[in-house]
Amino acid sequence: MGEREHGPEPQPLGPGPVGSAAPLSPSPPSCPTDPTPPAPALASAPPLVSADLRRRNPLLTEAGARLLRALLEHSDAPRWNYRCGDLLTSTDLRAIEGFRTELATLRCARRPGPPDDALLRKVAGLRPRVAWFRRRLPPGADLERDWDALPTTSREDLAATPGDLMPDDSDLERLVVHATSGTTGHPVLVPHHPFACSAYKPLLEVALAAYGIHPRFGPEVVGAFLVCAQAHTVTYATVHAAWRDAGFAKLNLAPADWPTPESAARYFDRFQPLLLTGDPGSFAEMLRLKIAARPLALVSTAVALQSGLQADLAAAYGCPVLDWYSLNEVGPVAYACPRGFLHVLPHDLHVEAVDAGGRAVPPGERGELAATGGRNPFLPLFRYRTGDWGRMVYEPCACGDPMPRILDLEGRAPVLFRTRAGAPVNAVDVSRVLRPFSIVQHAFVQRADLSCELVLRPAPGRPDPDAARLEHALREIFGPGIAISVRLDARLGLDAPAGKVVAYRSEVGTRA
Amino acid sequence: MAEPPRVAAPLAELLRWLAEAPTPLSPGMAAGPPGGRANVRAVVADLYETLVLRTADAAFLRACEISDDGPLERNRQRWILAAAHLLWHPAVRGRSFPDAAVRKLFVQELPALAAVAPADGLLTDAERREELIRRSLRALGLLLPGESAEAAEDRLAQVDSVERHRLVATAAEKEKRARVLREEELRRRAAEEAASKDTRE
Repeated sequence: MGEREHGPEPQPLGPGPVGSAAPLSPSPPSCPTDPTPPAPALASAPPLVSADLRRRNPLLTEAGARLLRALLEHSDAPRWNYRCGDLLTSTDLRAIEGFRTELATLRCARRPGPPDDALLRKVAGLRPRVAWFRRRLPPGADLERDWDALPTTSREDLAATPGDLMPDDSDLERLVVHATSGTTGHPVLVPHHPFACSAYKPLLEVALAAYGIHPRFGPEVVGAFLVCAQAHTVTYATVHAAWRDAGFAKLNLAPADWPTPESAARYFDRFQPLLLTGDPGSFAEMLRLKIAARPLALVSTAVALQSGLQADLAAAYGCPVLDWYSLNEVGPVAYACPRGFLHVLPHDLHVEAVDAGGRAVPPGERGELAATGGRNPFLPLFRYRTGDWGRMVYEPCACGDPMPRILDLEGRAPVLFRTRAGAPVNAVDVSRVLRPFSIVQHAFVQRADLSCELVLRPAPGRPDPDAARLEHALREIFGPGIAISVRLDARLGLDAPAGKVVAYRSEVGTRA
Repeated sequence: MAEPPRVAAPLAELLRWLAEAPTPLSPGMAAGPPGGRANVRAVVADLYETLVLRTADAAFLRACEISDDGPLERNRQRWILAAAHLLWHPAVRGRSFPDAAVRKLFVQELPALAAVAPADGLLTDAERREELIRRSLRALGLLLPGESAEAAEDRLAQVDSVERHRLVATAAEKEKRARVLREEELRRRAAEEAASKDTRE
């Protein structure tokens, strides 16, 4: 794949007149004249770096402060409801540079089995220092030889006694906490570290490089908008030292968040982020609102990206749409290469598929994905069961990325459905049927009487999925004698925890 | 079952060998200025080739290298250098050992030891020197002259820093108190600002 352009030429991003940016491609939206007067020329005013701001962004430069002010005070800016920075120190920044270098040199082919020596060494060093490790890893166990027999950790461990998973000698001064609810709604407090949060950036760079994209970050550009479309979510703007003070904003497309109905479109137009990250529902909402942008890539997270919507987004924004697999507890795990395969991203994360007893399943077989390692000093992962399922394969991929691949990733334990004759139907089979459609999320349930209901949230602004065609395809899978209904619900997931719904559920009691 | 081979040097000789090794035991060697810092990778590579009779692979050598400049890592480097010096004793390096034995010592035993025991103990405490000797010999499958396998295990248990740390740390009240403190801090920090992340999850 050829190299993509590196984004718009750097230009000062003072609050300047709204709508002054060049027209957008591929289909520029109408951009009415801003009814509000232009903001004062803040670009030339001395930036205000309060003690609070310095605490949030310890490495903030003057140029970064100007950009941040522009993002915060633009006349079309959303109603910010949160303040947040990267909290990075110069030591962290050096560590991120080191991590970037390691990623460039240490992402190499892996074998099934225990982690490599570097990771085993880390675990060995943690063994005496983490309460859970002390209690649960048998003192005589050889980490390499006995790996498969060692216990796993889970979300339940983290929810019940997170302090047992944190090293005894943790310097809690740098502790930050991210709460996560997943699809269960049960909140978990995840101990995090500013370095680990900013280490997402070199990982994003690796994924983008696979598409020939090498963004130039700096205080003259906005690096990314994280786009949400929810009733309520935190919104903030900041700059990121790990991207040389490039701007960043977490935005919510809910109309109530913006000064006018046109503000969101104008805000995107004004700041032209190099990257857009968000879940498929939020990107679908961007399509519906006809928000134009010229990003280098869209990075889709949180829930599965259906290929129909992916194609629509790629066409609308003229850039690759990367599927990204990341968990609050683990951080980024994998990205989809240009061939469409999910590759494990970090070299310092060991991913295996395990069975109910914690034993690794053979390569190519389906198991629950478990992660070991990572770089969060407050939460060293040990065979952490993610609650997601997939198949690990280690053969080389045609894309050239040597890291292992995760096939058939599903966000839940495998659910087996049944035909009238009692034959099993895998959720993966239903997923394959859904892939071509432009869908944001779906919920499929088989009731105790074997009847099936599929509820779809179609991508707004796109042709609705053909319910009759879907019904027909499902009938082919399930065979005769089973009632199947398909309906569309534009609000599916909007009121669920974190906007996610359970994709597959069986009331027949035949879970694998 | 055949008895493990014996190292042709008594404990006293190995203790003296360690105590008289100023270079690897000096705090400055693994933590000092770049010009004076030992090249741990090269030391381990040489040793591995001598003991295993083939070249060490990159993954193993990377696991022995320093991964950050924190005190834990610097401490681990000093333990590695001390172990390398010990295994360079003529009574040891004249033999060959399986890759897995050498690997386990450097990848598992020494990191665990370094996590709980300052390498300064090698300078001041004969028990730490004995612990290093006994751990290393056990990993390599060697016995001291005139000592049975059971006696060797018993004696190692008496000087075992890692096990002692485990027993002290898991004393129910102490561990519980530490956990409660960490979890209180978690809840308190949950109400404070987080750090910015690029993606949703």
